[in-house]
Amino acid sequence: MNVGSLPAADLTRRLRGDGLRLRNGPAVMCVRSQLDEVRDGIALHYAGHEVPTEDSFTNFHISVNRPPGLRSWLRAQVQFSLDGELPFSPLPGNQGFPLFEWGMNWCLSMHLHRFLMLHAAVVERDGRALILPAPPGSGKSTLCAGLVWHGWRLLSDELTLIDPASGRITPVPRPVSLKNASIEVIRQFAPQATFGPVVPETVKGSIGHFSPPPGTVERAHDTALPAWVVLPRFVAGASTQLQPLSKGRALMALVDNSFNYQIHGAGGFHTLAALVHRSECFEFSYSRLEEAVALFAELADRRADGQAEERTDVPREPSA
Amino acid sequence: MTSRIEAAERRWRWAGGALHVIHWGEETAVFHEPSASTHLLNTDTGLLVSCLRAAPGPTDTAQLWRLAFASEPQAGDCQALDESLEALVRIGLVTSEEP
Repeated sequence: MNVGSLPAADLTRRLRGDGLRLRNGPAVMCVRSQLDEVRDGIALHYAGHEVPTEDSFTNFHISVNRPPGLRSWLRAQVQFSLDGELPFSPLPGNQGFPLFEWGMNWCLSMHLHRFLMLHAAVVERDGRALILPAPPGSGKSTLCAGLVWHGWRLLSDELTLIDPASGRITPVPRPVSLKNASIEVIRQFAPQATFGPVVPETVKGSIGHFSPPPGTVERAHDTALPAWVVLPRFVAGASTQLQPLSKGRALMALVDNSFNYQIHGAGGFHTLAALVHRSECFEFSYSRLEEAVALFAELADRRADGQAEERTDVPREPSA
Repeated sequence: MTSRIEAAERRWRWAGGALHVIHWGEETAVFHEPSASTHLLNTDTGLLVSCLRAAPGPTDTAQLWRLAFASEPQAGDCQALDESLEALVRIGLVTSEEP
C-alpha cells in the first residue's frame, strides 16, 4: 500500500490519530499532524511512497502541529517534534510543510549512522551514481533538479547515504526542495514537474517542492555504485566548465560535507577513500542549466563506453 | 619565562597512534586515529611523516633531511624543513622537543 492508494479521509484520520507510517528510503517515520497543509503536501508529494503496516518497526515518531497555548492564537506558529522532544524553535504558521521536510532531513542526518552520510545531492544513470556535494547556495539542488528530468534517477537532493560495507548508495527519494529563483528556473526547464505551493519568507527565502519524478520512488530499493564526485558551483554569467579535481582534494571535500564522518572513524576514511578512488572527480561551474545537463549526459555516455566498472585497488599503507 | 628553541636544535617525534595512509600520485591522505583527524599532505610532507614514524626516537632536522632525501642539507634546507614540520606539529601529527 502507498500513500496515493489511501482514501483522503483515511489519510487525514491517520495523521490526526495514531500517525501515518511512511517509508523514506531505509527509514520508517510515524507522522502526526493536524495541519491541512502537511496533509496536502504528503498527499501530493508522497503519493508513491510505501505505507508500512502499523506493526512495522518505526525509526522516528514525528509531529508537525501548532504549539499549545495562547501564543498560537495570537500569531500562528508551527513546531516540529521528534519522540516528544522539540529540537527547533517554532516557525511561522504557513511553514508547516517546509518544516516537515526540514525536520525529516534532520532526523535522517542525525540518526542513520549505519550509513556514512554526506550533505550532497545524488543521482544515478545506468547503475552509476553522480554525487554532488556542496554547501547551500551552490546550485546543487537546481542542478540535481535539472538532471532528474533529463535521464538521471533521483536518489536524493540532500542526503547521500553510503553503505560502508559495500560502498553502494541507498536512495532516499523525496520531494526536491528549491529556493527563490531556482523555482521558476525548474518550472520552465521541466514543465512536467508537479510543484506544490511556494512558501514565501522562510529563513531560506521562498521555498517550493516538486514531487519525485515518475519511477523514482518505485526504485527506492535499487542502490547504485559511485562513479563521479562533482563539486558544483553556480556562478551567474559563467561559462560551463568541468575541471578535473585530484583524488585528495575530492576526499577532503567529502569529509567536509559529511554529517557523521567522525562517528565512523578509520572506517569512514577508508569508505570515502575507496569512493573517490573509483570515481572520476571534478569541479564544475555553470550558469546555464541546459548546457550543464548536456555535459553530464556526455560524461555518463563516455563512462558507459569505456571505463572500468570496479576499481578497488586503493593504494594504502599498513596502519600499524 | 620560556626560551625559544633554535630551529637547528629542535628534535621531532612522531605523535604516535595508528595512522591510515593512502597515496594518490603526489598526494598523501592520512587518518590519524588518536585525534580522529584527516589530512591531505604533499609528497614531501608525507615522506617526513613516514620517516618520523620509522625513526626509533626524536630526530633533529638535519638528520631527518638525510633520512628523507638521502643527501646532506644545504643552506636554507633545514629552515624549509622546519616550516613543514611546524605545520605537522600544528595538526597534531608530530611533536617537537628540546635536545
